[in-house]
Amino acid sequence: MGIWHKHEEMQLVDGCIKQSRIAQKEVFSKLYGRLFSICMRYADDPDEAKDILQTGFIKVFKGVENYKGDGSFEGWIKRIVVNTAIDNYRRKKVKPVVTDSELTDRVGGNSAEEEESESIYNEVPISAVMDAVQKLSPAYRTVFNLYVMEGHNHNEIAEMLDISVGTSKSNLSKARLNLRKMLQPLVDRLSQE
Amino acid sequence: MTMNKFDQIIASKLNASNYASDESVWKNIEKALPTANASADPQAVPFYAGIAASALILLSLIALPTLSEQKINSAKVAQQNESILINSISSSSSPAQIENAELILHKPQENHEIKLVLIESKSPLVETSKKPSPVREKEVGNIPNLDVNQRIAKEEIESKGAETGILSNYDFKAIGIQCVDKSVQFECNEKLKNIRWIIDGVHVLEGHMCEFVFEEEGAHEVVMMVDQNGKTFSVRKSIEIFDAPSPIINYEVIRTPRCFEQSVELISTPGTNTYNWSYNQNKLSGNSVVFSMPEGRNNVMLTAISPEGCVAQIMQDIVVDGGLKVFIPNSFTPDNDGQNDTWFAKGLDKCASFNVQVFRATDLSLVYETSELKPWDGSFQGSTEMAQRGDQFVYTITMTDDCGINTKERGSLNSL
Repeated sequence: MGIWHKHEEMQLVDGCIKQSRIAQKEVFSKLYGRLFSICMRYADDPDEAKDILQTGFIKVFKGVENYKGDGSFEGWIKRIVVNTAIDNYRRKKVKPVVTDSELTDRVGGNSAEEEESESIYNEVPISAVMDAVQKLSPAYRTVFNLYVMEGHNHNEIAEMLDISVGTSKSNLSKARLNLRKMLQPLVDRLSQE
Repeated sequence: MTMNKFDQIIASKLNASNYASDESVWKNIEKALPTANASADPQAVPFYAGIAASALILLSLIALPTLSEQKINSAKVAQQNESILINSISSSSSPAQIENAELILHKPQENHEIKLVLIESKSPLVETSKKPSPVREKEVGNIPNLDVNQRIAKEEIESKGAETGILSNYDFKAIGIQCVDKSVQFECNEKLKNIRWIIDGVHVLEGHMCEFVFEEEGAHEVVMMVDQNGKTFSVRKSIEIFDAPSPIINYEVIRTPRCFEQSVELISTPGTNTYNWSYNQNKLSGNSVVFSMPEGRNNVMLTAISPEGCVAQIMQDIVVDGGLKVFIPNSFTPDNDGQNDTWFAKGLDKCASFNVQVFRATDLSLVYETSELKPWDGSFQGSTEMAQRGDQFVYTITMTDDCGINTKERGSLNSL
């Protein structure tokens, strides 16, 4: 469900274009939770997530004239915030990401048995998952987010992050592997209960 | 792009995470933004709290503790010529309510900083300076062992010749919102002993503080009687009790057959009441508001606040139908017998855009994908293989309706 009705959304966009603080605050308050959650996925810690979100909102409110109404206003804002997170990653990236050409993405997913056993991850608390994602290296985390959460393919990710397709696939595999490793103790405990 | 079950679980967990809004982030954003244009939005006059005031609003408040300065969180205002009419303010110690206030600005097109100062917590209906309550202080003789009606009669008779002037110690005040079925407390100086309260001449209570719930609107009489040094002093006040609003909810579904969600206009009785609507954590105010709701029963809550501050709350189910429906079959028989040989979701033609993906259940490999109105005949893309009887598949259909709402449907599909 969209967060605003179309009429409401148009009024808010109009208010934001005119720099109405009430409209801007409404947008901020309504979207903070969802957008902060996205930023947390891309950041090392909550402080960095706040910085990303803050920069993202400033870009949104300063550039709201560029919103043409093609998709939802919320979707447009989300894209800006994700792009801000990627910019933040690019700035932080000091050395090139180490690639492992032998590791490739597992096309097609897991076997039925593995699928079954992975249901246990449903029991893992949200906070533990977010914590594990934040502990991934920025390179792995960014690719994981872009692939799994934002739905980009490896070609797109390679272009966005200025890396090779092989690196994108490798980073995704390592992200998954590391997430599994980090969540394993919790999964073991849950399996015993 | 392929996602395995692990990815899907992690994604659903991360999507479910949510966080409370952080005001410090907003303040930093606000600092970096250009100055708001007050004339751009007639309902948006910026308010800043705790800064040098260009105007002081004196407010009469209902049942709030005494406070000096308040942080203003939001305000509803309307601009009329050179006046700013303030209809409501949400302060840091809400629910503050303004009876009414008018602020004359010399240059209404400019931004103004307003400081909200609460002068005193008062019950405006008893102690308002606009409408002083009819208070009579008098000394009467001790009138023990009389029934209440006789006692009042005696007091009135004796009071004619027994006026002793103002007895300021023998005063009392009311606390609480003076509405029907709401508790109102009456309180006098706690040093006074032997206090009796006679409400509407029939209800007798004791103690330096008493609490009473009025069941009828209109003027009610409250008499405080103090027995002291063998004499009885009485203070009589009139209190106005206001009726609570009786809101009703009417609604109209504005049908848009090519959208999953429908616009629903919710309407309540027009008048002077303030209406706050709540649906699925979305909140709107006004006599008539519009929410976007999915098909089915949707529960809305309406809070009506009368100008006197009396509150009534009702909930109602809103039944929504007539939206875009997509029917997805869960089986097909690709055996060329002319019946159910292909699989496709009915109603996708009404979507603005869509994408259909079918995966083999055993290894989640993608066997069919399309964004066109092209039913699946069971053949695997990029292969000569065909779906066989007993094969199981899972599908993901992503749809965008004409209102721009995205929906994703997942499910299983059997080849029979």
